[in-house]
Amino acid sequence: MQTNLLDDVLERHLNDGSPVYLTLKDNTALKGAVKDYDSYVVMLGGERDSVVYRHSILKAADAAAHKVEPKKEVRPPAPVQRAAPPRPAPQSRPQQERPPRPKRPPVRPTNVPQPERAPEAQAPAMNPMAEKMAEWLKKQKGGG
Amino acid sequence: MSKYALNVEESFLEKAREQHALLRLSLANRERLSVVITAVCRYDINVETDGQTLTLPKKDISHISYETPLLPDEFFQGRTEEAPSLKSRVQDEFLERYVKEKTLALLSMVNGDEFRGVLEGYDGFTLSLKTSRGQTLLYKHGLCRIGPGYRRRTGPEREHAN
Repeated sequence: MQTNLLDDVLERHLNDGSPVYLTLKDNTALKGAVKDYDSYVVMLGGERDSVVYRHSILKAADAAAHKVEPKKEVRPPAPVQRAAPPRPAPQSRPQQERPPRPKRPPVRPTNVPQPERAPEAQAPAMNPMAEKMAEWLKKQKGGG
Repeated sequence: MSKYALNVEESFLEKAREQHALLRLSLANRERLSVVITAVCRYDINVETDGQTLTLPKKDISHISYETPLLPDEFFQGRTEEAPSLKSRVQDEFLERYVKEKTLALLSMVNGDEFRGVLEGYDGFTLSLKTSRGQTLLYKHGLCRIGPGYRRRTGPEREHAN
């Protein structure tokens, strides 16, 4: 029985000179024509040739079918921020006028989404109970 | 009898053990250790770090480096031609070319590390690289790709990512 399919794939790319799209374990995606290969490495020819170890290949594809975004951190979308006055760039600040400030611990990063406050907390302070209490107070004052 | 004329890995580790050299060692998970080798075996090594003894399987070691060359240049010149192996023909020719031409190589590792240096020699499982920070033993199982290092790897290879 045949031991692996990658050999066939590489052989095909080698013969028709079509580029192969590789995703590697270090999260890089690369494209190149297969120049040669053996049991352990694949030689890719671009403008300069390099060797890729087969043990580090995660995916080998015929075409870039889907988006590959190498080395990109997935971050939650930044919350809508209130328009803050843009800070001047640190380089534009005059350096000599002020003595250097002592270092402060960093303020919390601005792009971290803040947990939304519960809507109850923002409801008007007058709840039915308080309203009645105010009424009663008024009555007491008026009566007295 | 070994297939390769050079025995880079064994010699490097043995030299380091004899000299009680303080080595920098990096694991597959990018953990860095400063170690002194106490024993070497086929699949693992014993090291001492911070007064404790660790056993590290070689398969989880990415590279080992030392600030001055443990293996002298003469070591790599004592190399004889050996019968080419059919299974690793492309790899051997490629490495041979880099060693002979002393090309500056850029090597990226599976754990994300990158090295730029000149290949001095290689054997079945390791490469010996001369970098600006000394001599480094790189395990092939930790390697991702090898290419020329005189220009930064940028756009062309990654263009399909967009």
